[in-house]
Amino acid sequence: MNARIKSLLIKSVVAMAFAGLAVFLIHHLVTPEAGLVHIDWFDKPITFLAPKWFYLAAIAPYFFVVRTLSLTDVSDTQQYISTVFRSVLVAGIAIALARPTWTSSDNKVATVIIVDVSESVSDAQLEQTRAYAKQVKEAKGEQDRVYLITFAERPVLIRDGKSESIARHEGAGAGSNIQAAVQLAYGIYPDGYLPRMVVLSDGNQTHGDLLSESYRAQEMGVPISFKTFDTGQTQEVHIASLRLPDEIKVGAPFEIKAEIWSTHADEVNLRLQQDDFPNALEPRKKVKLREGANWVTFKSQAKAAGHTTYTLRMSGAAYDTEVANNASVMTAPVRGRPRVLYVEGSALSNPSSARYFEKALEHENIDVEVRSPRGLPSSPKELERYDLVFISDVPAQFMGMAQMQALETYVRKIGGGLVMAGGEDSFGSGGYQNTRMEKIMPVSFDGEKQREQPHVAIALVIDRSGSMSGRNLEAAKEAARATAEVLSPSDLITVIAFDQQPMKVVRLQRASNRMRISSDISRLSAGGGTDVRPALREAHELLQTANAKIKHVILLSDGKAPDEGLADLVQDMRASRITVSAVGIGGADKSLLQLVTDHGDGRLYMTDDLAALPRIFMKETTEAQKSALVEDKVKALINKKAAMIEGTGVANAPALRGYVSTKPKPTSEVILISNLGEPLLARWRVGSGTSVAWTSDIKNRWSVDWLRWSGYPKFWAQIVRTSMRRKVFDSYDLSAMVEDGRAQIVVDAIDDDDKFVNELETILEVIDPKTSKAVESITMHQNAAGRYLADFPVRSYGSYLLKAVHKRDGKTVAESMGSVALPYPAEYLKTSINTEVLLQAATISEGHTQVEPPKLFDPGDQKIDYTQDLWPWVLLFIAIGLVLDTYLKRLRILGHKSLPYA
Amino acid sequence: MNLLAPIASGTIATVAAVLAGLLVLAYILKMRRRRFEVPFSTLWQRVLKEKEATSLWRHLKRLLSLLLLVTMVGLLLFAALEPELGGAREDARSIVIIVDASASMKTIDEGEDGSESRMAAARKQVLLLLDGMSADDAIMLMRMDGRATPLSRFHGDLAKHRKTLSTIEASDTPANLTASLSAAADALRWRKKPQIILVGDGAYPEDALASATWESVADAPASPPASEPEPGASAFKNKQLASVDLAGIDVRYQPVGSAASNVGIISFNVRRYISNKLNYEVFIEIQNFSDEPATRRLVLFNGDSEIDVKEIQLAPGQRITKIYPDLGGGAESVLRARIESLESESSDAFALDDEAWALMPENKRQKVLLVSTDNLYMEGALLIFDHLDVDKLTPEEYEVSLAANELQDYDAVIYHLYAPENVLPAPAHLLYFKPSGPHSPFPVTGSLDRGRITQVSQTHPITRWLEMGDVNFDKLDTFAVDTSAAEVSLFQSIRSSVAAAKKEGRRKVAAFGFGLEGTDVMLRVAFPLMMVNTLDWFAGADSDLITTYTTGRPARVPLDGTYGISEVLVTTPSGAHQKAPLREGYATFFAAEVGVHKLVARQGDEDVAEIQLAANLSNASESDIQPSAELSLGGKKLDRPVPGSATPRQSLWIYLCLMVLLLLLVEWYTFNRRITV
Repeated sequence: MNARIKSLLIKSVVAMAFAGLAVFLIHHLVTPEAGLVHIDWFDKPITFLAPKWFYLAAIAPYFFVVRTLSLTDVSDTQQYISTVFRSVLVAGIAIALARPTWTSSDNKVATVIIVDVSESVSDAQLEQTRAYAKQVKEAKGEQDRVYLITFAERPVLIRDGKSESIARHEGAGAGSNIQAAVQLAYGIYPDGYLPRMVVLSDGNQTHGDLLSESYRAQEMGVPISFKTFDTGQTQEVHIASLRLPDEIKVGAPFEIKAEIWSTHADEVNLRLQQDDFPNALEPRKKVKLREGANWVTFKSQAKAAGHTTYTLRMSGAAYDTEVANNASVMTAPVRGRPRVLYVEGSALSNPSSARYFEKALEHENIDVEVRSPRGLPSSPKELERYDLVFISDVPAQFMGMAQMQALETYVRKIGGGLVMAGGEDSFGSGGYQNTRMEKIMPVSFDGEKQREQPHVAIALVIDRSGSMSGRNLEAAKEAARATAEVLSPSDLITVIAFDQQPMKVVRLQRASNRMRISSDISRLSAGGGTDVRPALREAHELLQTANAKIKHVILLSDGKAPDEGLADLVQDMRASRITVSAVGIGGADKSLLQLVTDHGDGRLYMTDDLAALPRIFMKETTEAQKSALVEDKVKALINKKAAMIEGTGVANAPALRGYVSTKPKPTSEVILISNLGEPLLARWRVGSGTSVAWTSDIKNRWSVDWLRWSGYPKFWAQIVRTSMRRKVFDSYDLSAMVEDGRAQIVVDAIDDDDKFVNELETILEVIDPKTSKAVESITMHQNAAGRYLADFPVRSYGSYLLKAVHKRDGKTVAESMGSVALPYPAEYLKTSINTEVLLQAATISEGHTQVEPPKLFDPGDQKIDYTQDLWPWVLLFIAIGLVLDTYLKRLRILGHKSLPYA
Repeated sequence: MNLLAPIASGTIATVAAVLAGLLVLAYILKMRRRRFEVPFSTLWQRVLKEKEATSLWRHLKRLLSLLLLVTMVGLLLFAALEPELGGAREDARSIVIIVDASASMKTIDEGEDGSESRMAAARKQVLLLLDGMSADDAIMLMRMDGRATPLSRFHGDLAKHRKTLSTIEASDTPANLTASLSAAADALRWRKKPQIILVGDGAYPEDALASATWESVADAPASPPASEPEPGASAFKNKQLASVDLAGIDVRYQPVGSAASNVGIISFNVRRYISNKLNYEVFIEIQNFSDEPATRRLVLFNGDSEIDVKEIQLAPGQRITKIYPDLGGGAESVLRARIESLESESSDAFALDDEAWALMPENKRQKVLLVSTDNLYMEGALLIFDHLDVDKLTPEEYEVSLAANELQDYDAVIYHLYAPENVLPAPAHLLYFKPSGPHSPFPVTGSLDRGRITQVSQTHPITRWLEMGDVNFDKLDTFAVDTSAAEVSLFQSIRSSVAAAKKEGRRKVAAFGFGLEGTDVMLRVAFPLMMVNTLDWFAGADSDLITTYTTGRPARVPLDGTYGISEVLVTTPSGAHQKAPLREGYATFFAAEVGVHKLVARQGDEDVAEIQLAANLSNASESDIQPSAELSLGGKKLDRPVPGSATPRQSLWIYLCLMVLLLLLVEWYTFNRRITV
């Protein structure tokens, strides 16, 4: 290599290296973002998408180096100009390769036709859709483009774009997701085309949200137009929902509500199946439907604890299109058998007396534990495991303060149910006046009226003859005092002592004046003969005017007396509703006393034991009080309609043979009354529980005819169920809904004081009722005070049981039960055209409603900005430049030079 | 081969003809001979002799020169037509690159000094992926945040993809992986060699990762059974409803992110008590997502005032809750919680979840006017609620006061056994007990003796928690309720409405077909509940409503008194304005930003309703910023992406340009050295 060429090569390499470095520095100094170079060309920015090609400009020095070897004879000036021009051409190629682009605009239109091929679209509508798509293709301009997407559950791009290719999606038609189709369309529009979209659909969505998407479409400049086809509109009847109560208990009747939706008036047959069998109470119904929503109610009853699944099927509609939506399924949790503690006063003395009631409740799926009064728990904790406590004919003397207090706490605080049934030893006649039991019962045993109007008026007619002096008289005084003690304060008492003549020792007065009465009795002294008749007449006169329901005379005597006119007197007394009992001590004339009691409808006591005298008086007084018992045939009359007795047929029940007379408290609900207008069945709320008074009995004394009545078990089961404790644990509201294929569960934990319950460890079990197994177990997450959330995808159609167990420190503190169902694809719920969503989407995105094909390609005054490649134009200019370059080389424009001859 | 012809081919042909003519013309022109300086005349002989000897060669040199120039011009013009090679090769792939732009991509833990965001790192990763693409690969870029957004159609123009990529920024929303995979699968349907490349940090919820299925889900019957439907147990049940069908799609994962620590607020809410609506309870949940213990300062603000500061210590992975019960007062309805790093602690790599907002549902004191003769039950029920200021007037006093225009500013009026002709103007809400006469808000159609309520609306706020089945009424008036005018029947006796509610513009009206005599309703729990429900409904105070939402999930927000209005204006925390749809009094609201949003419904020039909503990230999956180097989808571990096979680009213009460049170099040398002339 000669020295000249060597020098040239070195020059070339150095020059190119410098040029390359310069380009490199420029590139990195002006590059704001990796890989891209922006320059402002007047007011139009130009972006170079591949600026690394600028390095090619480093070749330019090559031309200058080669020029030094040139054998051409054009002038040096022209050679320089030519070299620069050639370098510019090379730089031009580098620029072209660096992909210059700018933003340009055009008004060509690309329209995506989005076709609903879901099951809710009829075949006729689909055919119209095809014809419409064909018209759209025919209406497009030469430069416009048309694309076709069909959608059901998911969207699909039709590759050949032919309207004939519009077809249903095999196996995936049971859903409509317009939003997904719109999103797919975004990825189809070519650059430089005004994007347009037309949705051919009935507007019903099962997934996604077209409305939200329409705002994004507006942001992206894609107007969503729509067209619906209402010919061939289907007539449809479907089951929209099946609703069960939040809480179902074994054996407790409840109502199931079905929402049937119809486009027209029709008549259908409904069959309700409970688990694998027809619903026992109402297996089928024929109902006339009107247009719109119709509610149909079925009565049902759960037979076993756990859960129960109801399937409602509909058939026989004159006009119906879709059969898949003619059935619905719903599962609900069923709480176990209620537990009742039945305390029977005569359980020990006559065990068979408790069996009637026990059997009746067992027959109605209620667990009954029978105990004698001694077995009544004395702590609320022990009572807590029962849903209801039933007290029957237990005298107050067998129930201690602790037990009464426990019962009150059980009802008031724990929410338990308490029923007191009548009998000889219940209510007032059981000695419960002014006790806690009376306080919590809905009836008063010694009511306000009774306080104003004495219930019992007792006249003690005491022999004070000489023979009574000493211990006999003292025993008689003691007995008289005891009588006054036993009586209720409002009752009346008078004490008449007699020898030949009567003497009022205690005037007729209220028993509440006990001190005074006792003092008056103390003044009683012995002396004189014995004549019963004047004394009884005195008692008759006194009691006749007394304002009392029960009037009774107790005659005490130890001797003999004339009986003339005595029978007539006592009969008169009886006619005045005054009864007479007699107590004979020592050598008393039994036949005389017998005569008195026989006519006086009373009892005769003969005793030598003076110590027994007070007890006899007390018993006699109590017996008299027991006359508060109404022992007559009474019919149970409905005073108030209530769910408690609904459907029991109590209006047709046989007569009862008696009850305890009580008075309703002002705020109680008296549901059944006797012919006399007195309460038979009454209830009220006590704190969080319910107490019920049944003033007749439940045994074979007053209810003997009821025991044979077929409605007896149901009547009592219903009273128990409507009165028993609602929940074992606290139960918080659980709501569930299915939206967009996901079940969303919310539990609001709020306690009785309206405080939020926080920091619970809550697990939600999703139970498949078919297998009773949990298919999902999800931790519910607290996201606000008292609020716990969970959501899970519904993995298959059907009904699910939801059970949320709330724990604190590992101990369950509450439970929430619920259910959720997605019985069939939501697609089959929606069979009529819903233009509302489409209309709103069109309005938001500035599309057209019910658009005709030509309108879809009308750009109006719109233009679309797009990134335009400038390199083809650069190449065009280089080609032109190359021709100029040729002339620059070939024509001696600026003179010539002479070449040395070598 | 196809010509994409960005410049019309006719234009190119015309230009080609003109340029060819000019080139030929350049060579037709008679060129004067070159001048040589020779030392003495005998050499002229040699020059002339040489000329004769090279005459043919000289002709050839000119022809060659012309040919070269025509070739170059031809190549340039041909390149300008953008020729492309024919159909793609069999192994060409269709690839959707899902670029994770969710909130966790805002984590600052990338780069050599850890000062770069994961988003920037993801963009770099995608650039590398694009560089490795085969020339035949058709690529779609898809952005994944709370929604899936295709950013391009399928094409192989990598430069344009790079430009698109540069616009992707991380958002405040969690990743919706299911939607993105579904959208990608939709776009890839029917395409050859479908592939999804997920570029992200793997902060995705477990159920989304489990939702993918690799076997086709379209195996259910084509149509539902034609005869007896079998719900639940039907053929529909075979379908995997929640699955994303990725059958036949090659899904790959390119991780970004390095280990970083984060302590974040994952729940923040405030809720008013149901009975004492003036007080509220705040709930905050915070989690330490790192492997190291952390200490933070938790500050609670009401408006701009600090109301509590706590120092909290968290063990690795520990989640704690803080509850502030019985808070009251506070001038602002906006609460804000912030966790701050202590000076001794390293800063948090993910700042988005360090702050959260909550808004108390509006619960202003209500001024209630009771128009009734003495009614202790009613007055007693209203006295229970602390937030009510109750005035009482008899109907006669009411008429006088109304005529004297003395009745102003009442939020609600209760008319008992009275339906006056003149009522307080809107927005005073009206509650009637046993209205009658021509001014009853609902026409009275009849009366039921000893009627019972057989159906209670399951959905209306007034009837929430109400049990009316056992309530006794001597008489119940029935109303004509026009459901087509959005009137709602609250209670029904058999099929007759005995209570109803409606909205009249900004005013709400409720009416019960019974008074408080001849019934035991006032002795039931239902009565005060019915009253508070009604007054809450009037005030738009829904005790279930929690006005704090999460970003990236559409939410239905009740907006009171908006009947007939179809959209709301949303002002985002950054001050941007958007619109959102409003239907049946509910706005569908999608929060893309963390912070306090304002929704305003306007009718004409009047603001009819307004609500403020807070949006927080509140997403433990997103806050758990520990990157996943591996990812399993539907039980299958995802492989890393591989480069495509090296193939020439389909687009030929670049090669044509390079050929022209080469020819220019050669031609310049040959021309100057007189090989061509």
